[in-house]
Amino acid sequence: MTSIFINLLVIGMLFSSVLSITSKNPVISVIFLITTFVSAAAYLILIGINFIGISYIVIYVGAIAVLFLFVIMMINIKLTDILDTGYNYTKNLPLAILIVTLFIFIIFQTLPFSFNNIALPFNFSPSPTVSFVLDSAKGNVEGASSSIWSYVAFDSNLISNQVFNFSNLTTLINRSQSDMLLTQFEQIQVLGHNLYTYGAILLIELSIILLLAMLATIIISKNNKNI
Amino acid sequence: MIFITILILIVAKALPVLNTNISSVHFFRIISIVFIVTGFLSFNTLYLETIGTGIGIYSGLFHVTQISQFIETFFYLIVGLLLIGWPQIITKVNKVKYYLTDKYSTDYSLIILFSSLGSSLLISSYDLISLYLSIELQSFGLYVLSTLYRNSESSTKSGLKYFLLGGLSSAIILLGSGIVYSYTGTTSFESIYLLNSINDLSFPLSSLGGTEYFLQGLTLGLLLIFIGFLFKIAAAPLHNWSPDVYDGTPTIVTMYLTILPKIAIFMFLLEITTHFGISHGPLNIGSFEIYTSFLVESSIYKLLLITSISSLIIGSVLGLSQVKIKRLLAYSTISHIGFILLALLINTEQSIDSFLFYILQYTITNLNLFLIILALTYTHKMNNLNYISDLKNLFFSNPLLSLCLCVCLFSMAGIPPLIGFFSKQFVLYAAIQNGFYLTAILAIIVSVISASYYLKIVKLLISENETFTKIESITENENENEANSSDLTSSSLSANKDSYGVLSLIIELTNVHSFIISTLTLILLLFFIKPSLILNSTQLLSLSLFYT
Repeated sequence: MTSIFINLLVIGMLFSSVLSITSKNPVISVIFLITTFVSAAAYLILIGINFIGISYIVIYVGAIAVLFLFVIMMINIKLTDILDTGYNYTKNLPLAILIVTLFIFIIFQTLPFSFNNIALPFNFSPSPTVSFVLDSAKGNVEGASSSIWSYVAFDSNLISNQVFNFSNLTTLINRSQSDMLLTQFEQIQVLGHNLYTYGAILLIELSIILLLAMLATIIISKNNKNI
Repeated sequence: MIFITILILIVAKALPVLNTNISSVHFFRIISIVFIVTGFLSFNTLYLETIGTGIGIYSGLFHVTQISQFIETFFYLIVGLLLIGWPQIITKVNKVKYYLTDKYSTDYSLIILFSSLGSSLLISSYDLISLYLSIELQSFGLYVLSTLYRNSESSTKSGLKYFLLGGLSSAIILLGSGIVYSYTGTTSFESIYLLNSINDLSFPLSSLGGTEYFLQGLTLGLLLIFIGFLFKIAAAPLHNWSPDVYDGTPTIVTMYLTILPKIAIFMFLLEITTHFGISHGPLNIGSFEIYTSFLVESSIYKLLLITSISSLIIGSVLGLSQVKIKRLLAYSTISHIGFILLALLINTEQSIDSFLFYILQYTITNLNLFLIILALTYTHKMNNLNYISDLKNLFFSNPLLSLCLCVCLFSMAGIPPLIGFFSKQFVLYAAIQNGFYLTAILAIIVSVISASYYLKIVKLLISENETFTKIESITENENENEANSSDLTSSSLSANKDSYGVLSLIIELTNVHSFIISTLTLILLLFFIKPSLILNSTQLLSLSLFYT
């Protein structure tokens, strides 16, 4: 039941994101964008990643999308201008077709057509997923959640079976996450633990990016006369 | 690496506070000196005994190897030289000289600090997350840089275009790394290489479904990551944004955009391709090569082959019809990227050698070319040197500078005694040795075609215009450097005189600028006398990649 609901949510998300691109009126497209964010957040919460889902709603829906809406209502873009510039970009259509053909060629040279139907060996979702997008998303969920809780279960399973299972290898290789086997954390604790011990440099790098972002907004929008 | 990061950070953070005390001239000079010093520091770490096969630092998120250190040294040196390119604007108020620079120059050099910090992190990144963060840091700096001149419409337009398309390619990279993570459960490159190699050796295809499945997912993810990066370096089928962006941005920004981010991305691609062993592609299926390893290999191999060939063709054929000089340079960049990708995909010791050498050579040549164009822009009376036809008759008004330009263009076209010839020769030699006959022939033909548009510029340089014949006589018994600078000053004195009464602006080339132009040109010219320095170092680096 939950998986059906999740699939419906994903389909809705894709649909509304397509609509947010194609709709002519910018206000309506922002509303579809909000729909996309909300459904993404609901998706994240349903598959068990509560904290990030909630922060998604708080940050994207609460702050950014509303800001978008305000800005678009304030600057009052004329619809005809947007439509005119749209024709500019169709002249590259042959190039786009070429790129897509080459890409599909490469993909299907290497990947068999039956790629979509195989489930992951340690996938615990009962229903075989319908499309590739759903499948990879599931795999992602699997990776994220298994890294936190379910490695222990896999290990015992492996010892009993003596069959090469792929997750065995993953536990051996994931050095940083093997710490997690000993204790159980809450989700936020896991995030904080990873971020402040293992990935401290990532935090520093993120802060540099943030610094650059602040500097960039100042530089781009400042009044040049006082230099 | 640690030193560099901290140093750059301190400078970047401390200097805005001192911003009021330091004039803008000193500002970018300080930063360029900082770059050179950091280059020296990272050069020092080359001597560490322990560096051997490479050290993972910051809990394995970054990885220092000899190649990454060498390239970082080179990178910082080039950035340091590049910052020199700002002109001095001399303002005379009541006969007292004030040295000013362009009002954007402090912001420019500050953003370059951030962006090059991102690229140096990218060179040594060893994890999908750190990879993504550093590519974002790098390209975010670039977006800001290209919208820096926010008063000009073209700059803003191209910056916006760059931002949107760069965001798209970042999204593709992110999708690829998400897929890789979802199929392998790890983000560290080391683990991914390990998984891949285990699959290579011990498990044939049919025994279990999981291995095959894992490899397919990994292949798909890596393909997407590669496509994103090829988008960022504007390789051919994804090249469409680059001429517009390079044309729209001011020249001094274009100089940074064309050269430096590409070095970092190429180094990263080198890292991935060598570790996945995308060596011979379909050539040795029959021997020990097991099908599963062939999967990752062959797909990226095909991708690189297609992009390399198409960027060779597109870069040179479309370049023929360009009239704007920066668009032409963008197309020539695309065709050079074709050569570099060709060297990358062959992936033997020799081809990696030629790959590194090509990058070094191309960077030096391109830097020199852009510095010359900047110098011409400053000395020329017009504000911006946009069209090729603006270069007409330049040889007679400014012979030495246009001689340097000729040398650069010849080197890019690959005329024998210059450095560009050798790099092309090495790439082609490696290609032929590994059986890429058709591609090699294509590359030769294409480089001949692209030589024609370089020669078109040279022809325009010396073509005489009857209505405007003004030949300056210059004493030529001095050595080139002195003559060069004296010539520049003499022409720039007459360049930009405002009849504004008290305030007159004179744009003057700095001595360092002309000195760098002449030095780089001499490097290009006289490389064949003592080639052993660069060649030995690149060869050692490529050997260190294979035999450790």
